[in-house]
Amino acid sequence: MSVAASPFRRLLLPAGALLGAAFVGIQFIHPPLENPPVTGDFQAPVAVKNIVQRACYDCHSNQTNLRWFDKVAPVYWQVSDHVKEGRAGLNFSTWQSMPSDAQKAKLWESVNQILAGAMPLSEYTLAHPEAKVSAQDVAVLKQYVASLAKNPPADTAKLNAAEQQYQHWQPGAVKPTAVPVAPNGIAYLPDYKNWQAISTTERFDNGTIRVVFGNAVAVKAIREKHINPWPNGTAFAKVAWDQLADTEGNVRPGAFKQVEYMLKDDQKYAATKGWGWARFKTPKMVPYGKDALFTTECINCHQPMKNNDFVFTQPLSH
Amino acid sequence: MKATPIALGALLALSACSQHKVPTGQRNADASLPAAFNFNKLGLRVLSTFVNRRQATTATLYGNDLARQAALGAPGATQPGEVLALITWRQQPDPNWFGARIPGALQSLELLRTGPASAARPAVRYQCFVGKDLVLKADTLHQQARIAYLLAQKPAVLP
Ligand code: HEC
Ligand code: HEC
Repeated sequence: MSVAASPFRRLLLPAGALLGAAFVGIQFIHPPLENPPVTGDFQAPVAVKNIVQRACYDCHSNQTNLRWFDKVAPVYWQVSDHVKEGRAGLNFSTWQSMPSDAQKAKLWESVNQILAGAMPLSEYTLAHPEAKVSAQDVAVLKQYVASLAKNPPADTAKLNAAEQQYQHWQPGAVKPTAVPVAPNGIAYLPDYKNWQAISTTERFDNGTIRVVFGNAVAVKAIREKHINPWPNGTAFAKVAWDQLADTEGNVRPGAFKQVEYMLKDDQKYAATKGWGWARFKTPKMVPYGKDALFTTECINCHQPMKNNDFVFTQPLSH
Repeated sequence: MKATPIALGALLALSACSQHKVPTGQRNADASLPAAFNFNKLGLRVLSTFVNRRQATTATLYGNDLARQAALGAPGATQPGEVLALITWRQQPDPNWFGARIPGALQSLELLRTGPASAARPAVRYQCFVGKDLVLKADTLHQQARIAYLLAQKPAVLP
Protein backbone atom coordinates (compact mmCIF):
# COMPACT_ATOMS: atom_id res chain seq x y z
CA MET A 1 0.00 0.00 0.00
CA SER A 2 1.33 3.42 -0.88
CA VAL A 3 1.42 6.17 1.65
CA ALA A 4 -0.97 8.23 -0.45
CA ALA A 5 -3.65 5.57 -0.27
CA SER A 6 -3.89 5.41 3.46
CA PRO A 7 -5.73 8.70 4.14
CA PHE A 8 -8.02 7.66 1.37
CA ARG A 9 -8.62 4.35 3.04
CA ARG A 10 -9.04 6.03 6.35
CA LEU A 11 -11.99 7.93 4.83
CA LEU A 12 -13.32 5.19 2.63
CA LEU A 13 -13.74 2.57 5.31
CA PRO A 14 -15.91 4.63 7.65
CA ALA A 15 -17.85 6.02 4.68
CA GLY A 16 -18.50 2.48 3.47
CA ALA A 17 -19.51 1.36 6.92
CA LEU A 18 -21.80 4.35 7.22
CA LEU A 19 -23.44 3.60 3.90
CA GLY A 20 -23.83 -0.03 4.85
CA ALA A 21 -25.43 0.95 8.12
CA ALA A 22 -27.71 3.39 6.32
CA PHE A 23 -28.67 0.66 3.85
CA VAL A 24 -29.55 -1.67 6.68
CA GLY A 25 -31.28 1.19 8.47
CA ILE A 26 -33.58 2.11 5.61
CA GLN A 27 -34.77 -1.48 5.39
CA PHE A 28 -36.77 -0.67 8.51
CA ILE A 29 -38.57 2.10 6.66
CA HIS A 30 -40.96 -0.31 5.08
CA PRO A 31 -44.44 1.15 4.70
CA PRO A 32 -46.65 -1.91 4.50
CA LEU A 33 -48.07 -2.96 1.14
CA GLU A 34 -50.98 -5.23 1.68
CA ASN A 35 -53.05 -7.33 -0.64
CA PRO A 36 -56.66 -6.40 0.07
CA PRO A 37 -59.26 -9.08 -0.76
CA VAL A 38 -60.12 -9.81 -4.38
CA THR A 39 -63.77 -8.82 -4.62
CA GLY A 40 -64.53 -9.33 -8.31
CA ASP A 41 -61.68 -10.58 -10.45
CA PHE A 42 -61.26 -9.71 -14.15
CA GLN A 43 -62.96 -12.25 -16.43
CA ALA A 44 -61.79 -12.85 -19.98
CA PRO A 45 -60.79 -15.70 -22.30
CA VAL A 46 -57.83 -17.62 -20.86
CA ALA A 47 -55.32 -16.33 -23.41
CA VAL A 48 -56.22 -12.72 -22.58
CA LYS A 49 -56.35 -13.23 -18.85
CA ASN A 50 -52.94 -14.93 -18.83
CA ILE A 51 -51.27 -11.98 -20.51
CA VAL A 52 -52.87 -9.45 -18.21
CA GLN A 53 -52.09 -11.49 -15.10
CA ARG A 54 -48.48 -11.95 -16.07
CA ALA A 55 -47.81 -8.38 -17.21
CA CYS A 56 -50.10 -6.18 -15.15
CA TYR A 57 -51.27 -7.86 -11.94
CA ASP A 58 -48.26 -6.88 -9.83
CA CYS A 59 -49.35 -3.24 -9.99
CA HIS A 60 -52.98 -3.39 -11.04
CA SER A 61 -54.51 -6.00 -8.75
CA ASN A 62 -54.75 -7.03 -5.12
CA GLN A 63 -52.59 -10.03 -5.97
CA THR A 64 -49.27 -8.22 -6.01
CA ASN A 65 -46.44 -10.69 -5.84
CA LEU A 66 -43.22 -8.91 -4.92
CA ARG A 67 -39.96 -10.74 -5.49
CA TRP A 68 -37.15 -10.44 -2.91
CA PHE A 69 -35.36 -7.76 -4.96
CA ASP A 70 -38.52 -5.65 -5.04
CA LYS A 71 -38.55 -5.66 -1.26
CA VAL A 72 -35.13 -4.07 -0.82
CA ALA A 73 -35.25 -0.33 -0.02
CA PRO A 74 -34.94 2.09 -1.75
CA VAL A 75 -36.30 0.06 -4.71
CA TYR A 76 -39.17 -1.02 -2.47
CA TRP A 77 -40.32 2.57 -2.00
CA GLN A 78 -40.71 3.09 -5.71
CA VAL A 79 -42.34 -0.29 -6.20
CA SER A 80 -44.88 0.35 -3.49
CA ASP A 81 -45.66 3.80 -4.94
CA HIS A 82 -46.20 2.21 -8.34
CA VAL A 83 -48.52 -0.38 -6.89
CA LYS A 84 -50.56 2.22 -5.01
CA GLU A 85 -50.85 4.52 -8.01
CA GLY A 86 -51.43 1.62 -10.35
CA ARG A 87 -54.25 0.16 -8.26
CA ALA A 88 -55.87 3.58 -7.89
CA GLY A 89 -56.18 3.98 -11.66
CA LEU A 90 -56.96 0.39 -12.61
CA ASN A 91 -57.60 -2.59 -10.37
CA PHE A 92 -58.36 -5.96 -11.96
CA SER A 93 -59.34 -7.38 -8.53
CA THR A 94 -62.34 -5.05 -8.18
CA TRP A 95 -63.20 -5.36 -11.87
CA GLN A 96 -66.79 -6.53 -11.37
CA SER A 97 -67.67 -3.37 -9.44
CA MET A 98 -67.31 -1.35 -12.66
CA PRO A 99 -70.21 -0.98 -15.11
CA SER A 100 -69.60 -2.88 -18.34
CA ASP A 101 -68.98 0.29 -20.37
CA ALA A 102 -66.29 1.37 -17.92
CA GLN A 103 -64.71 -2.11 -18.09
CA LYS A 104 -64.51 -1.89 -21.86
CA ALA A 105 -63.07 1.61 -21.70
CA LYS A 106 -60.33 0.43 -19.32
CA LEU A 107 -59.47 -2.45 -21.65
CA TRP A 108 -59.15 -0.20 -24.70
CA GLU A 109 -57.07 2.20 -22.62
CA SER A 110 -54.90 -0.72 -21.50
CA VAL A 111 -54.24 -1.88 -25.05
CA ASN A 112 -53.38 1.67 -26.05
CA GLN A 113 -51.00 2.09 -23.13
CA ILE A 114 -49.26 -1.11 -24.21
CA LEU A 115 -49.14 -0.05 -27.87
CA ALA A 116 -47.63 3.29 -26.92
CA GLY A 117 -44.95 1.51 -24.88
CA ALA A 118 -46.14 3.14 -21.66
CA MET A 119 -47.23 -0.11 -19.94
CA PRO A 120 -46.01 -2.24 -18.33
CA LEU A 121 -43.60 0.34 -16.89
CA SER A 122 -40.13 -0.12 -18.36
CA GLU A 123 -38.47 0.21 -14.92
CA TYR A 124 -40.45 -2.88 -14.00
CA THR A 125 -39.86 -5.04 -17.09
CA LEU A 126 -36.14 -4.40 -16.66
CA ALA A 127 -36.21 -6.46 -13.47
CA HIS A 128 -39.16 -8.65 -14.52
CA PRO A 129 -38.51 -9.57 -18.16
CA GLU A 130 -41.20 -12.24 -17.98
CA ALA A 131 -43.78 -9.43 -17.79
CA LYS A 132 -42.92 -8.06 -21.22
CA VAL A 133 -45.77 -8.06 -23.71
CA SER A 134 -44.81 -9.61 -27.04
CA ALA A 135 -46.12 -8.62 -30.47
CA GLN A 136 -48.18 -11.79 -30.42
CA ASP A 137 -49.67 -10.89 -27.02
CA VAL A 138 -50.57 -7.47 -28.40
CA ALA A 139 -52.37 -9.11 -31.34
CA VAL A 140 -54.37 -11.29 -28.93
CA LEU A 141 -55.37 -8.27 -26.84
CA LYS A 142 -56.25 -6.13 -29.86
CA GLN A 143 -58.44 -8.84 -31.28
CA TYR A 144 -60.18 -9.27 -27.96
CA VAL A 145 -61.04 -5.60 -27.42
CA ALA A 146 -62.10 -5.26 -31.06
CA SER A 147 -64.55 -8.11 -30.49
CA LEU A 148 -66.14 -6.07 -27.67
CA ALA A 149 -66.84 -3.09 -29.93
CA LYS A 150 -70.32 -3.39 -31.34
CA ASN A 151 -71.82 -0.42 -33.09
CA PRO A 152 -75.21 -1.59 -34.34
CA PRO A 153 -77.76 0.71 -36.01
CA ALA A 154 -79.33 3.01 -33.42
CA ASP A 155 -82.30 1.52 -31.56
CA THR A 156 -85.44 3.47 -30.64
CA ALA A 157 -84.11 4.30 -27.17
CA LYS A 158 -81.05 5.99 -28.63
CA LEU A 159 -83.06 7.76 -31.30
CA ASN A 160 -85.57 9.00 -28.73
CA ALA A 161 -82.88 10.23 -26.36
CA ALA A 162 -81.32 12.20 -29.19
CA GLU A 163 -84.64 13.61 -30.34
CA GLN A 164 -85.65 14.67 -26.82
CA GLN A 165 -82.36 16.39 -26.25
CA TYR A 166 -82.61 18.16 -29.59
CA GLN A 167 -86.09 19.41 -28.77
CA HIS A 168 -84.95 20.83 -25.44
CA TRP A 169 -81.85 22.39 -26.84
CA GLN A 170 -82.61 26.02 -27.58
CA PRO A 171 -79.60 27.70 -29.07
CA GLY A 172 -79.90 31.37 -28.28
CA ALA A 173 -82.20 30.72 -25.33
CA VAL A 174 -81.18 32.51 -22.12
CA LYS A 175 -78.60 30.44 -20.28
CA PRO A 176 -78.53 30.16 -16.46
CA THR A 177 -76.43 32.93 -14.94
CA ALA A 178 -74.23 30.62 -12.86
CA VAL A 179 -71.46 29.30 -15.10
CA PRO A 180 -70.57 25.67 -14.25
CA VAL A 181 -67.08 25.28 -12.78
CA ALA A 182 -64.98 22.10 -12.62
CA PRO A 183 -63.52 21.06 -9.22
CA ASN A 184 -60.12 22.44 -10.26
CA GLY A 185 -61.60 25.90 -10.83
CA ILE A 186 -61.90 25.81 -14.63
CA ALA A 187 -65.17 27.25 -15.88
CA TYR A 188 -67.23 26.09 -18.85
CA LEU A 189 -66.35 28.22 -21.90
CA PRO A 190 -69.43 28.62 -24.11
CA ASP A 191 -67.42 30.23 -26.89
CA TYR A 192 -65.88 26.94 -28.03
CA LYS A 193 -68.67 26.69 -30.62
CA ASN A 194 -67.09 29.60 -32.48
CA TRP A 195 -63.63 28.02 -32.55
CA GLN A 196 -62.40 26.06 -35.56
CA ALA A 197 -62.65 22.33 -35.98
CA ILE A 198 -59.11 20.95 -36.09
CA SER A 199 -60.15 17.30 -36.33
CA THR A 200 -63.01 14.87 -36.03
CA THR A 201 -62.92 11.34 -34.69
CA GLU A 202 -65.05 8.28 -35.06
CA ARG A 203 -64.49 6.33 -31.86
CA PHE A 204 -65.54 2.76 -32.58
CA ASP A 205 -64.18 1.71 -29.18
CA ASN A 206 -67.01 3.49 -27.36
CA GLY A 207 -69.60 4.31 -30.01
CA THR A 208 -69.14 8.07 -30.03
CA ILE A 209 -68.36 10.65 -32.69
CA ARG A 210 -66.32 13.76 -31.86
CA VAL A 211 -65.18 17.16 -33.04
CA VAL A 212 -62.03 18.76 -31.65
CA PHE A 213 -62.13 22.56 -31.69
CA GLY A 214 -59.11 24.86 -31.39
CA ASN A 215 -59.19 28.55 -30.45
CA ALA A 216 -57.46 31.32 -32.44
CA VAL A 217 -54.10 30.76 -30.67
CA ALA A 218 -54.25 27.06 -31.58
CA VAL A 219 -55.15 27.78 -35.19
CA LYS A 220 -52.28 30.25 -35.54
CA ALA A 221 -49.87 27.75 -34.01
CA ILE A 222 -51.02 25.08 -36.48
CA ARG A 223 -50.53 27.41 -39.42
CA GLU A 224 -47.05 28.34 -38.18
CA LYS A 225 -46.26 24.71 -37.32
CA HIS A 226 -45.41 25.51 -33.70
CA ILE A 227 -47.36 22.75 -32.06
CA ASN A 228 -44.89 20.92 -29.86
CA PRO A 229 -45.09 22.40 -27.32
CA TRP A 230 -48.27 24.33 -27.96
CA PRO A 231 -48.03 28.04 -27.06
CA ASN A 232 -49.60 29.40 -23.87
CA GLY A 233 -53.15 30.51 -24.54
CA THR A 234 -53.92 27.47 -26.70
CA ALA A 235 -57.33 26.02 -25.93
CA PHE A 236 -58.94 22.81 -27.17
CA ALA A 237 -62.52 21.71 -26.75
CA LYS A 238 -63.51 18.20 -27.63
CA VAL A 239 -67.22 17.45 -28.02
CA ALA A 240 -68.60 13.91 -27.95
CA TRP A 241 -71.97 12.66 -29.14
CA ASP A 242 -73.53 9.19 -29.28
CA GLN A 243 -73.32 7.68 -32.74
CA LEU A 244 -76.65 7.30 -34.52
CA ALA A 245 -76.08 4.80 -37.31
CA ASP A 246 -78.66 3.72 -39.86
CA THR A 247 -78.76 0.34 -41.61
CA GLU A 248 -76.72 1.75 -44.52
CA GLY A 249 -73.83 2.64 -42.24
CA ASN A 250 -74.47 6.39 -42.22
CA VAL A 251 -73.56 7.82 -38.83
CA ARG A 252 -74.72 11.15 -37.46
CA PRO A 253 -74.39 12.71 -34.02
CA GLY A 254 -77.05 11.74 -31.47
CA ALA A 255 -77.25 12.82 -27.84
CA PHE A 256 -74.56 15.26 -26.72
CA LYS A 257 -72.45 13.54 -24.06
CA GLN A 258 -69.81 16.01 -22.96
CA VAL A 259 -67.37 18.75 -23.77
CA GLU A 260 -63.76 18.52 -22.53
CA TYR A 261 -61.20 21.29 -22.40
CA MET A 262 -57.43 21.53 -22.36
CA LEU A 263 -56.14 25.05 -21.69
CA LYS A 264 -52.41 25.64 -22.05
CA ASP A 265 -50.51 27.72 -19.50
CA ASP A 266 -47.18 26.24 -18.47
CA GLN A 267 -47.00 28.44 -15.33
CA LYS A 268 -50.54 28.43 -14.04
CA TYR A 269 -51.06 24.73 -14.78
CA ALA A 270 -47.49 23.57 -14.10
CA ALA A 271 -48.77 20.96 -11.61
CA THR A 272 -50.92 19.29 -14.28
CA LYS A 273 -48.41 19.06 -17.14
CA GLY A 274 -48.99 22.64 -18.30
CA TRP A 275 -52.64 22.11 -19.15
CA GLY A 276 -55.87 23.01 -17.38
CA TRP A 277 -58.24 20.06 -17.76
CA ALA A 278 -62.03 20.11 -17.48
CA ARG A 279 -65.01 18.03 -18.52
CA PHE A 280 -68.70 19.02 -18.50
CA LYS A 281 -71.34 16.38 -19.04
CA THR A 282 -74.78 16.49 -20.70
CA PRO A 283 -76.38 19.71 -22.01
CA LYS A 284 -76.74 20.73 -18.35
CA MET A 285 -72.92 21.00 -18.27
CA VAL A 286 -72.46 19.03 -15.06
CA PRO A 287 -68.81 19.40 -13.97
CA TYR A 288 -66.99 16.05 -13.88
CA GLY A 289 -64.89 14.89 -10.90
CA LYS A 290 -65.32 14.58 -7.14
CA ASP A 291 -62.39 16.87 -6.42
CA ALA A 292 -59.46 18.51 -8.19
CA LEU A 293 -57.71 15.12 -8.41
CA PHE A 294 -59.95 14.11 -11.32
CA THR A 295 -57.18 15.47 -13.55
CA THR A 296 -55.05 12.42 -12.66
CA GLU A 297 -57.35 10.34 -14.81
CA CYS A 298 -57.00 12.72 -17.76
CA ILE A 299 -53.23 12.88 -17.41
CA ASN A 300 -52.74 9.13 -16.97
CA CYS A 301 -54.51 8.38 -20.23
CA HIS A 302 -52.82 11.25 -22.10
CA GLN A 303 -49.45 10.23 -20.60
CA PRO A 304 -48.32 8.15 -23.63
CA MET A 305 -48.41 11.44 -25.60
CA LYS A 306 -46.00 13.15 -23.22
CA ASN A 307 -43.47 13.74 -25.99
CA ASN A 308 -46.21 15.47 -27.95
CA ASP A 309 -47.18 17.92 -25.19
CA PHE A 310 -49.85 15.42 -23.99
CA VAL A 311 -51.95 16.01 -27.11
CA PHE A 312 -53.39 13.16 -29.19
CA THR A 313 -54.89 15.10 -32.07
CA GLN A 314 -52.94 15.66 -35.26
CA PRO A 315 -54.53 18.95 -36.24
CA LEU A 316 -55.49 19.87 -39.78
CA SER A 317 -55.54 23.39 -41.13
CA HIS A 318 -58.21 25.10 -43.20
CA MET B 1 -13.66 -0.38 -19.44
CA LYS B 2 -15.52 -2.24 -22.15
CA ALA B 3 -18.59 -2.52 -19.96
CA THR B 4 -19.26 1.21 -20.06
CA PRO B 5 -20.12 1.51 -23.75
CA ILE B 6 -22.14 -1.68 -23.58
CA ALA B 7 -24.09 -0.44 -20.59
CA LEU B 8 -24.56 2.92 -22.27
CA GLY B 9 -25.74 1.24 -25.43
CA ALA B 10 -28.19 -0.86 -23.47
CA LEU B 11 -29.50 2.24 -21.72
CA LEU B 12 -29.93 4.04 -25.01
CA ALA B 13 -31.68 1.07 -26.54
CA LEU B 14 -34.00 0.95 -23.54
CA SER B 15 -34.84 4.61 -23.65
CA ALA B 16 -35.38 4.33 -27.40
CA CYS B 17 -37.93 1.60 -26.69
CA SER B 18 -39.76 3.61 -24.11
CA GLN B 19 -39.83 6.63 -26.43
CA HIS B 20 -41.61 4.36 -28.94
CA LYS B 21 -43.50 5.28 -32.07
CA VAL B 22 -45.66 8.22 -31.10
CA PRO B 23 -45.14 10.83 -33.80
CA THR B 24 -44.54 14.26 -32.35
CA GLY B 25 -45.43 17.76 -33.49
CA GLN B 26 -47.27 16.41 -36.49
CA ARG B 27 -50.02 18.12 -38.39
CA ASN B 28 -52.51 16.15 -40.41
CA ALA B 29 -51.16 17.35 -43.76
CA ASP B 30 -53.21 14.94 -45.92
CA ALA B 31 -56.44 16.21 -44.45
CA SER B 32 -55.56 19.91 -44.53
CA LEU B 33 -57.18 22.25 -47.02
CA PRO B 34 -55.00 24.15 -49.51
CA ALA B 35 -54.28 27.53 -47.91
CA ALA B 36 -55.17 29.22 -51.21
CA PHE B 37 -58.77 28.10 -50.86
CA ASN B 38 -59.16 30.52 -47.95
CA PHE B 39 -61.88 28.50 -46.29
CA ASN B 40 -61.66 30.57 -43.11
CA LYS B 41 -62.64 33.70 -45.00
CA LEU B 42 -66.13 32.21 -45.33
CA GLY B 43 -66.54 32.66 -41.56
CA LEU B 44 -68.51 29.45 -41.06
CA ARG B 45 -69.16 27.50 -37.88
CA VAL B 46 -69.35 23.75 -37.32
CA LEU B 47 -72.93 22.46 -37.57
CA SER B 48 -72.43 18.71 -37.52
CA THR B 49 -70.22 15.78 -38.42
CA PHE B 50 -70.89 12.47 -40.17
CA VAL B 51 -69.36 9.13 -40.97
CA ASN B 52 -70.15 6.81 -43.86
CA ARG B 53 -68.97 3.37 -42.75
CA ARG B 54 -69.42 1.74 -46.16
CA GLN B 55 -67.34 4.32 -47.94
CA ALA B 56 -65.02 4.84 -44.97
CA THR B 57 -65.38 8.59 -45.16
CA THR B 58 -65.93 11.25 -42.54
CA ALA B 59 -67.37 14.72 -43.11
CA THR B 60 -67.89 17.97 -41.25
CA LEU B 61 -70.77 20.30 -42.04
CA TYR B 62 -70.26 24.05 -41.67
CA GLY B 63 -72.68 26.92 -42.04
CA ASN B 64 -73.13 30.64 -41.51
CA ASP B 65 -75.72 32.01 -39.06
CA LEU B 66 -78.51 32.08 -41.61
CA ALA B 67 -77.86 28.50 -42.64
CA ARG B 68 -77.83 27.45 -39.02
CA GLN B 69 -81.13 29.14 -38.29
CA ALA B 70 -82.67 27.57 -41.36
CA ALA B 71 -81.35 24.14 -40.42
CA LEU B 72 -82.82 24.51 -36.94
CA GLY B 73 -86.17 25.59 -38.32
CA ALA B 74 -88.81 23.66 -40.19
CA PRO B 75 -87.60 21.68 -43.21
CA GLY B 76 -87.60 23.69 -46.39
CA ALA B 77 -87.32 27.02 -44.60
CA THR B 78 -84.54 28.13 -46.92
CA GLN B 79 -83.85 31.85 -47.12
CA PRO B 80 -81.46 33.91 -49.24
CA GLY B 81 -77.92 34.38 -47.92
CA GLU B 82 -77.31 30.91 -46.51
CA VAL B 83 -73.88 29.35 -46.91
CA LEU B 84 -73.31 25.65 -46.19
CA ALA B 85 -70.08 23.74 -46.69
CA LEU B 86 -69.48 20.01 -46.34
CA ILE B 87 -65.89 18.81 -46.22
CA THR B 88 -65.38 15.08 -46.78
CA TRP B 89 -62.26 13.04 -46.10
CA ARG B 90 -61.29 9.44 -46.53
CA GLN B 91 -60.83 7.97 -43.07
CA GLN B 92 -57.54 6.69 -41.70
CA PRO B 93 -56.81 4.84 -38.45
CA ASP B 94 -55.75 7.19 -35.66
CA PRO B 95 -52.01 6.54 -35.25
CA ASN B 96 -52.26 7.53 -31.59
CA TRP B 97 -55.34 5.60 -30.54
CA PHE B 98 -56.34 2.08 -31.48
CA GLY B 99 -60.14 2.43 -31.48
CA ALA B 100 -60.44 5.68 -33.45
CA ARG B 101 -60.55 6.84 -37.07
CA ILE B 102 -59.60 10.34 -38.13
CA PRO B 103 -59.65 12.31 -41.39
CA GLY B 104 -57.18 11.11 -44.02
CA ALA B 105 -56.90 12.32 -47.60
CA LEU B 106 -59.11 15.28 -48.45
CA GLN B 107 -61.82 14.09 -50.83
CA SER B 108 -64.17 16.99 -51.51
CA LEU B 109 -65.59 20.30 -50.41
CA GLU B 110 -69.18 21.02 -51.36
CA LEU B 111 -70.34 24.61 -51.16
CA LEU B 112 -73.96 25.70 -51.26
CA ARG B 113 -75.20 29.30 -51.32
CA THR B 114 -78.76 30.51 -51.50
CA GLY B 115 -79.75 33.73 -53.21
CA PRO B 116 -82.97 35.43 -54.14
CA ALA B 117 -84.70 33.43 -56.85
CA SER B 118 -84.86 35.15 -60.20
CA ALA B 119 -85.27 34.18 -63.83
CA ALA B 120 -81.55 34.49 -64.49
CA ARG B 121 -80.14 32.78 -61.43
CA PRO B 122 -81.20 29.73 -59.49
CA ALA B 123 -82.05 30.26 -55.87
CA VAL B 124 -79.46 27.68 -54.86
CA ARG B 125 -75.92 27.61 -56.19
CA TYR B 126 -73.99 24.40 -55.64
CA GLN B 127 -70.30 23.78 -56.31
CA CYS B 128 -68.20 20.72 -55.67
CA PHE B 129 -64.43 20.94 -55.35
CA VAL B 130 -62.49 17.71 -55.37
CA GLY B 131 -59.13 16.24 -54.43
CA LYS B 132 -56.17 17.46 -52.49
CA ASP B 133 -56.14 20.76 -54.43
CA LEU B 134 -59.92 21.22 -54.35
CA VAL B 135 -60.41 21.58 -58.09
CA LEU B 136 -63.89 22.66 -59.17
CA LYS B 137 -65.75 19.72 -60.64
CA ALA B 138 -67.35 20.47 -63.98
CA ASP B 139 -69.96 17.74 -64.19
CA THR B 140 -73.28 18.55 -62.55
CA LEU B 141 -74.55 15.01 -62.14
CA HIS B 142 -76.33 14.35 -58.81
CA GLN B 143 -76.36 18.06 -57.99
CA GLN B 144 -80.04 18.14 -57.12
CA ALA B 145 -79.67 15.15 -54.81
CA ARG B 146 -76.70 16.74 -53.07
CA ILE B 147 -78.53 20.02 -52.62
CA ALA B 148 -81.47 18.22 -51.08
CA TYR B 149 -79.13 16.27 -48.80
CA LEU B 150 -77.29 19.35 -47.59
CA LEU B 151 -80.47 21.29 -46.92
CA ALA B 152 -81.97 18.39 -44.99
CA GLN B 153 -79.25 18.14 -42.33
CA LYS B 154 -80.01 19.13 -38.74
CA PRO B 155 -77.31 20.73 -36.61
CA ALA B 156 -75.78 18.58 -33.86
CA VAL B 157 -76.59 19.61 -30.28
CA LEU B 158 -73.82 22.01 -29.25
CA PRO B 159 -74.80 23.49 -25.90
C1 HEC C 1 -44.65 -1.65 -12.14
C2 HEC C 1 -46.00 -1.34 -12.00
C3 HEC C 1 -46.92 -1.38 -13.21
C4 HEC C 1 -47.11 -2.43 -14.08
C5 HEC C 1 -46.44 -3.77 -14.13
C6 HEC C 1 -48.16 -1.99 -14.98
N1 HEC C 1 -48.57 -0.74 -14.64
FE1 HEC C 1 -50.07 0.32 -15.50
N2 HEC C 1 -49.73 1.89 -14.23
C7 HEC C 1 -48.76 1.92 -13.26
C8 HEC C 1 -48.75 3.25 -12.65
C9 HEC C 1 -47.81 3.69 -11.55
C10 HEC C 1 -49.76 4.00 -13.28
C11 HEC C 1 -50.17 5.47 -13.03
C12 HEC C 1 -49.20 6.48 -13.51
C13 HEC C 1 -48.74 6.34 -14.94
O1 HEC C 1 -49.58 6.37 -15.87
O2 HEC C 1 -47.54 6.19 -15.14
C14 HEC C 1 -50.35 3.12 -14.27
C15 HEC C 1 -51.38 3.48 -15.09
C16 HEC C 1 -52.01 2.63 -15.97
C17 HEC C 1 -53.19 2.96 -16.71
C18 HEC C 1 -53.96 4.26 -16.60
C19 HEC C 1 -54.95 4.12 -15.47
C20 HEC C 1 -55.82 5.34 -15.23
O3 HEC C 1 -55.52 6.09 -14.32
O4 HEC C 1 -56.78 5.50 -15.97
C21 HEC C 1 -53.49 1.88 -17.48
C22 HEC C 1 -54.65 1.73 -18.42
C23 HEC C 1 -52.48 0.88 -17.22
N3 HEC C 1 -51.60 1.36 -16.30
C24 HEC C 1 -52.46 -0.37 -17.82
C25 HEC C 1 -51.50 -1.33 -17.56
C26 HEC C 1 -51.47 -2.60 -18.22
C27 HEC C 1 -52.47 -3.06 -19.27
C28 HEC C 1 -50.41 -3.27 -17.72
C29 HEC C 1 -49.93 -4.63 -18.13
C30 HEC C 1 -49.70 -4.85 -19.52
C31 HEC C 1 -49.77 -2.42 -16.75
N4 HEC C 1 -50.46 -1.25 -16.69
C32 HEC C 1 -48.66 -2.76 -16.00
C33 HEC C 1 -47.94 0.89 -12.90
C34 HEC C 1 -47.83 -0.33 -13.56
C1 HEC D 1 -59.18 6.70 -21.59
C2 HEC D 1 -58.31 7.66 -22.14
C3 HEC D 1 -58.60 9.13 -21.96
C4 HEC D 1 -58.95 9.78 -20.81
C5 HEC D 1 -59.17 9.21 -19.43
C6 HEC D 1 -59.03 11.18 -21.18
N1 HEC D 1 -58.73 11.37 -22.50
FE1 HEC D 1 -58.72 13.11 -23.52
N2 HEC D 1 -58.32 12.13 -25.25
C7 HEC D 1 -58.16 10.77 -25.36
C8 HEC D 1 -57.97 10.44 -26.76
C9 HEC D 1 -57.73 9.04 -27.30
C10 HEC D 1 -58.04 11.64 -27.48
C11 HEC D 1 -57.93 11.83 -28.99
C12 HEC D 1 -58.93 11.02 -29.76
C13 HEC D 1 -60.33 11.53 -29.68
O1 HEC D 1 -60.67 12.44 -30.42
O2 HEC D 1 -61.11 11.01 -28.87
C14 HEC D 1 -58.24 12.69 -26.49
C15 HEC D 1 -58.32 14.03 -26.79
C16 HEC D 1 -58.60 15.03 -25.88
C17 HEC D 1 -58.70 16.43 -26.21
C18 HEC D 1 -58.38 17.06 -27.55
C19 HEC D 1 -56.88 17.39 -27.60
C20 HEC D 1 -56.02 16.14 -27.74
O3 HEC D 1 -55.25 15.82 -26.81
O4 HEC D 1 -56.14 15.46 -28.76
C21 HEC D 1 -59.06 17.08 -25.06
C22 HEC D 1 -59.32 18.57 -24.90
C23 HEC D 1 -59.16 16.09 -24.01
N3 HEC D 1 -58.87 14.84 -24.54
C24 HEC D 1 -59.48 16.37 -22.69
C25 HEC D 1 -59.53 15.42 -21.68
C26 HEC D 1 -59.90 15.71 -20.31
C27 HEC D 1 -60.24 17.08 -19.76
C28 HEC D 1 -59.88 14.53 -19.63
C29 HEC D 1 -60.18 14.27 -18.17
C30 HEC D 1 -61.42 14.79 -17.62
C31 HEC D 1 -59.50 13.50 -20.58
N4 HEC D 1 -59.28 14.08 -21.81
C32 HEC D 1 -59.38 12.16 -20.27
C33 HEC D 1 -58.15 9.86 -24.35
C34 HEC D 1 -58.47 10.13 -23.02
